[in-house]
Amino acid sequence: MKKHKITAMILAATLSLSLLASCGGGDGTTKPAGDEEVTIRVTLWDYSNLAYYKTIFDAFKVANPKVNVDVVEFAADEYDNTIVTQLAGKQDFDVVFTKGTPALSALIEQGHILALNDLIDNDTAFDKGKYLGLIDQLALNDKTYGVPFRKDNNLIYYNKTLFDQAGVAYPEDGMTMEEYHALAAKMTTGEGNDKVYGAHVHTWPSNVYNFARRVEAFNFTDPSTYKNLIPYYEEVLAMQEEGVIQDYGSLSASKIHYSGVMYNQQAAMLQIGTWFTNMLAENVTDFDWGVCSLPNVDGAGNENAIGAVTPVSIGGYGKYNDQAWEFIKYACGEEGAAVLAGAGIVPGYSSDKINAIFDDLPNTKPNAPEGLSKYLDLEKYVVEQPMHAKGKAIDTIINEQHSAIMTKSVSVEEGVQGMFDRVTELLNG
Amino acid sequence: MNNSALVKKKHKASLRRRKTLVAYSFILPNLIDFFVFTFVPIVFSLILSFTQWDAGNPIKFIGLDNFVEMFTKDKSFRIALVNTLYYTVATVPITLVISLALAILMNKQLRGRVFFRAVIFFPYVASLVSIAVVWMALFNPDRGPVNGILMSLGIENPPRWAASSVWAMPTIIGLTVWKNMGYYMIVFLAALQGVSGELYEAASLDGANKWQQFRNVTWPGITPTTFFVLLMLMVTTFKSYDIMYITTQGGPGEATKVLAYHIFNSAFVSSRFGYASAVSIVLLAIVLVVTIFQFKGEKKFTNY
Amino acid sequence: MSNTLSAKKTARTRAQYTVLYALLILVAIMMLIPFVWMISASLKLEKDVFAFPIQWIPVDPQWNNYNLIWTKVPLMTGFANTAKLTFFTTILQLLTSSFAAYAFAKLEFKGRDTIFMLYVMTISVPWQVYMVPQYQMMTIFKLTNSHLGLILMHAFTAFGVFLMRQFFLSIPTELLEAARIDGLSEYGIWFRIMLPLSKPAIATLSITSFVFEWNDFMGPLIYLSSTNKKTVQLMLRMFNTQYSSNYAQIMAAAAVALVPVLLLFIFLQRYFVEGIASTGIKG
Repeated sequence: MKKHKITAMILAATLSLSLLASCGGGDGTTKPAGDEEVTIRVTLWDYSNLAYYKTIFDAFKVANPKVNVDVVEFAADEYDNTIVTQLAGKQDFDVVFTKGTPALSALIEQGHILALNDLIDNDTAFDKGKYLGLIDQLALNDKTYGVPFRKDNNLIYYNKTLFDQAGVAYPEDGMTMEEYHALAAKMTTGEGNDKVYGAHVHTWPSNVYNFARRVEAFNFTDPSTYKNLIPYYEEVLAMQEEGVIQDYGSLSASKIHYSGVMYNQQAAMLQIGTWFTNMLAENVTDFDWGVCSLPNVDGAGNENAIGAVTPVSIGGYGKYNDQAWEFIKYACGEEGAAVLAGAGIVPGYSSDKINAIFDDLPNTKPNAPEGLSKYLDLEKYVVEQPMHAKGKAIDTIINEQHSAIMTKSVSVEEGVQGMFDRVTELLNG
Repeated sequence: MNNSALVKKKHKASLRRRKTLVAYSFILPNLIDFFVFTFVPIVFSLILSFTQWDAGNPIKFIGLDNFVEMFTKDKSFRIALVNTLYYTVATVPITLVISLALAILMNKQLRGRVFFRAVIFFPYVASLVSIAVVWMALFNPDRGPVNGILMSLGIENPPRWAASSVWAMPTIIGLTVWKNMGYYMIVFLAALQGVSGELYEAASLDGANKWQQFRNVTWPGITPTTFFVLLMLMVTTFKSYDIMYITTQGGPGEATKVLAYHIFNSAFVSSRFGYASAVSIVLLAIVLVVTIFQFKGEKKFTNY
Repeated sequence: MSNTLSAKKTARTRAQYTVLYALLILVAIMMLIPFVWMISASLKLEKDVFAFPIQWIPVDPQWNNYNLIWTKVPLMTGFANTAKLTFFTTILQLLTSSFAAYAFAKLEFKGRDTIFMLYVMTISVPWQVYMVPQYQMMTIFKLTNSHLGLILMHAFTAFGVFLMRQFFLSIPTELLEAARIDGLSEYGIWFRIMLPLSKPAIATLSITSFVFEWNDFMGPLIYLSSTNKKTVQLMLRMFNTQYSSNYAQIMAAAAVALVPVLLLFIFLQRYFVEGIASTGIKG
């Protein structure tokens, strides 16, 4: 008898829980009566580390005195998982920053993010042409969900001082992979602790596949393009074999950060996102540096930009959607963009004013190169990881196969085939 | 007489009821808290194993589909299951033996034992992030001091540790043992304190040697604790994933992907909370079998 | 003749002890390495943290890292919050666990073994599985973003009940029978006999609960969103930025966060070795 009672209790409790979990939430838009002050809740990571957030938010408050901003900060490493849990609990976040397209896609699929189409269509003050087509690229199932706060291009950053010392010509746009390899070999000098590597390949899969992605030979949502990665992996592994770059296993075991490698002049070239402009500008004084576009097998030049986006969206259970939209327009518009550019961070928003700020960088940071805007404001912007409902799972598979290939646990062909098989199964399943 | 027997019986029954009431009063604070904050969510998530749920959209019942997929289609599940068994079968006995040996040593009148005890306990109190970072630095395949020593000993191609699909798991096992053995040493030490000194004296007078003393005095005295340590080691190694999460991310390839890691991935990477629950039911079933087996053994080997 | 024999014996024990100590010192070094590394990393510049070969003593110690961590995030608030959470959960865990463990170990009642099995089984369910349903439930109870919610969730530990039960089992039942005959109630027995006799177990559980709560990261991460409620471990992780982790400062903060746990351990040390034998009651 007692047993039945307990079972019944459990059932009742779980049933009510599941009911509560599946409904509820409310309609989301509470119009504040008249001119009342409202407080919007904004979630992001790294707020306490990065001064520009506070600058932008404070300026927004000055421009919109009736809207207060309540920042909810979560640790960067676990941001995605925390946000999923919080939104599953129907937290009333008005503005949600996401770490990238896969994370945003997942939240959209779960129904935690509002579509922006109506807001964009009814707002004449918003010009989506300023975002290099990114507004449309942040769409899933024919609706768009995010405005890019930041975007990055991936470039080869090189140490001019090291090249000058070696008497070798600087790397240029439109290199082939062989030329890149040969150049790195030429720049490799020394032994043991004094060794300077010709190039540095960080441990992310994107440090290999972006070479192919920039020229759209690779698309992580389309397994049939994976075979195009083979020549890139072969080239990078050959560089690793020859000791022209540091070994992947060693880098990943010790979590060696690429920034230290460049700051200490232990490598001549590095493929990384444009946030590195900000890091070099703030941390380096003892050498000059420059940038060029990524190499690829055919030697295509600086036509496309390739990189990741930081989208900002409206939460599904917030109270003040209109104010949230005003906030997004401000933070991702010219005002917010100018603050980011001033810090050397590439904003999602493009304009001549923003370009001018980047081109002015050598005046404030003497070792920065001239004409940076040439690499920031390009005709075409290729998103590193296109929006896809299963983006996060694809990303994880590619990561695992990447580590197997780079540690030579499998051959390049086997590794890429495994990538193809596993992602194909995921997409069909 | 009949009557008085009935009264006696009634009295006995009321006594038993009283006893039960007292017993429940002991477990009730714990039980209520357990029921509300742990048991209900767990039961709820176990029901999820028969559903499709992404932590957002409405729950959809799909019967046994998750289990069918797990056993027929999901290759990662099979890899993770094998890895979990490998990880557990190696970690549990090694930790058990080392921590018991250390506890017996630390229970002796050794000079400096206070110091040694504290030092051995140290990795347990330090946060996993810092511990893991050091361990990986020591075992760096190219420049770590461990391989430095091996190479100076004349081994030309030392293992590539976490960067090799063969050695990654042993590296993680080493890290796990290293981190936890101090804790289980303390648990054993506490148990050894319960073994009466008189018994040793008696055994010693009977001419028992060290091994016989251990076998006949120490071992029976600490069996409940040994069962505890064994079971806890099993359960915690079975469900641990944070060590892999911090060090290898389950790689290279899927070499260190364990079941709990697969569960985590299914839930938070693939947004498949129903499927994650289904995998955890398998984990639970394995643990249940082992637990029942161990409890049977406990009843047999201990006399209480 | 017996003299030479004992001399031989002492020589042998001496040799044994030398080997033993050599081994122990080796183990001690292995165990101390992370601590040394942590301190040494905390005194380095960020770029030198992972430099090879490992530089154990930094040439130019950056004591400033220890100042910086206090200014970058409100670490003091974090310490206060963690101390509060740890204090209450440890005390509550000790009480609820030892209370329940007594019933499970020494009292007969219906459903005892079933309930106990359920307890143990819950330990084996990974938290990731029921994290989201639990969070949804806590939202309904309005216990998210509150210390009370975390304390309530952590006040109970199946692990603690299990640990205490195993220790209670080894306390002879005759002792309790004698006390019952003397007219002591079950509560009296728990308080006057079981607790004093299981000091090593209580010390073990205290350190377990303390270390768990002090180092807990995921719980506070999910449940605490206001900065003024966040714990030390959350603040430590705030040093990680998206594109670079400041390991030097993380290690400085980790070293600082370690001090209270070490102090507690040193304080509890003597209880680990003070058991039945030393309280004078023998089974």
